Amino acid sequence: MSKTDSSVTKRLQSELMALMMASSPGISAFPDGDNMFNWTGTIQGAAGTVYEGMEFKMSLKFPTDYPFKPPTVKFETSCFHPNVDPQGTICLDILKEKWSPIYNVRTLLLSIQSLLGEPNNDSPLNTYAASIWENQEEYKKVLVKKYHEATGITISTA
Amino acid sequence: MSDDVENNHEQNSVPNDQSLNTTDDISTVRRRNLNRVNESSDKNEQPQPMIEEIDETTSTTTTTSTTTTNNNNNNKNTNPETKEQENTEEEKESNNQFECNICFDDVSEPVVTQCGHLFCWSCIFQWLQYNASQQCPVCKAPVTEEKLIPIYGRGSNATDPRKNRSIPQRPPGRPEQVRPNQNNSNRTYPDVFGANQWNTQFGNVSISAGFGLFPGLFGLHFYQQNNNNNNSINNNGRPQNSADFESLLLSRIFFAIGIIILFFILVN
Ligand SMILES: [Zn+2]
Ligand SMILES: [Zn+2]
Repeated sequence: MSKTDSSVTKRLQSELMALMMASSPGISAFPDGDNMFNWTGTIQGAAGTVYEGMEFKMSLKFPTDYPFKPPTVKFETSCFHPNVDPQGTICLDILKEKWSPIYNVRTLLLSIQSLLGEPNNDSPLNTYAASIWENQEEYKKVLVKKYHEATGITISTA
Repeated sequence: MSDDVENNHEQNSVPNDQSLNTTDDISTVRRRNLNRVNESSDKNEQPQPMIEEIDETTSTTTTTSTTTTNNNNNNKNTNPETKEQENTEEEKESNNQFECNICFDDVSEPVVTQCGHLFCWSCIFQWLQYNASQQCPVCKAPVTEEKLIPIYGRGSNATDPRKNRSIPQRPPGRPEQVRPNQNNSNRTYPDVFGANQWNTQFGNVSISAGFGLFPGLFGLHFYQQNNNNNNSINNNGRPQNSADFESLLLSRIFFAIGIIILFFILVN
């Protein structure tokens, strides 16, 4: 038990080091206090997408058998997106059956950042978001309104 | 509402072609992001396969920060410190090559898959317990425990025995077996002197004639041995090295000459 915990901690520490030393555009993550198994991160919407200018708080919970099992990654800031449900759960294959130990916090957050701009609308968690995705103008309007409700931050629709 | 979401969610988690497409999409964008990082690092790194690229993010990031410090030093002109830092940078990069793809640490009890990816034995063993599809974490190629190749470096015996008893011993190396047709190598050996026949005739008495051992004209020495094999010949009947081969050849030539002379003496 303590042996596996220490190896998980060691790997998470090396991930933290890599994240701190990297220039990771639009993503960040850090452990909550002394607990290496719970992290808080942020994802900024990529430039050129409807999510540009928005920042989303993320939570990452690592199982004791990490990295053999994926972490549980959720949106803490409510996110209007075809593949995110109201609880912040993300439908992303690499967080489930396509998980591999070579992924890490950094690659996961970058993948989720990419997912924001390129949703998989064929198997949506949020069917409404998926249905209006094609109309980017309308989508942006709804998104900005939802983002304002969640954060109090106003984003210009222009 | 939440029930509906759960149902949908389960459908989504089922592997299908659509989810594959998503990965592809994501991967391309992810790659774009990584390229951006690479550009900012001002470092000419050669393009690598996509998955490798993701895998190397840690190394890229380390390089990035070191490069910036190097640039600062370059402004002050080249000094020994810069060179030292370059060296450590190189060391870091070369060290990263031997990091386990699972624990991101230096490999302990290294094994390599058929697809060439390096892991700690304990890491890949555990992964194969978790991963039903038995795939390489890096390239998804099929991995079987039997086909893992252990890597023994110099001083590898010094590594601590595994502490976790739930993980079995790393499988041993399986060198290519000696091919049966290597018995034919006896024929490449000069058989004209009939030495092999002499060996069989005399049973476990092996005969050798040596130049330095001749007390008289051509002395013959008979050695009693436990097996048929001469010391300089291994089990395959092949000389161990060329020096042995030469001395053996010489001794057999003299042996043959001795036989001929003996024959003439007897005839006369
Ligand atoms: Zn390992
Ligand atoms: Zn592989």
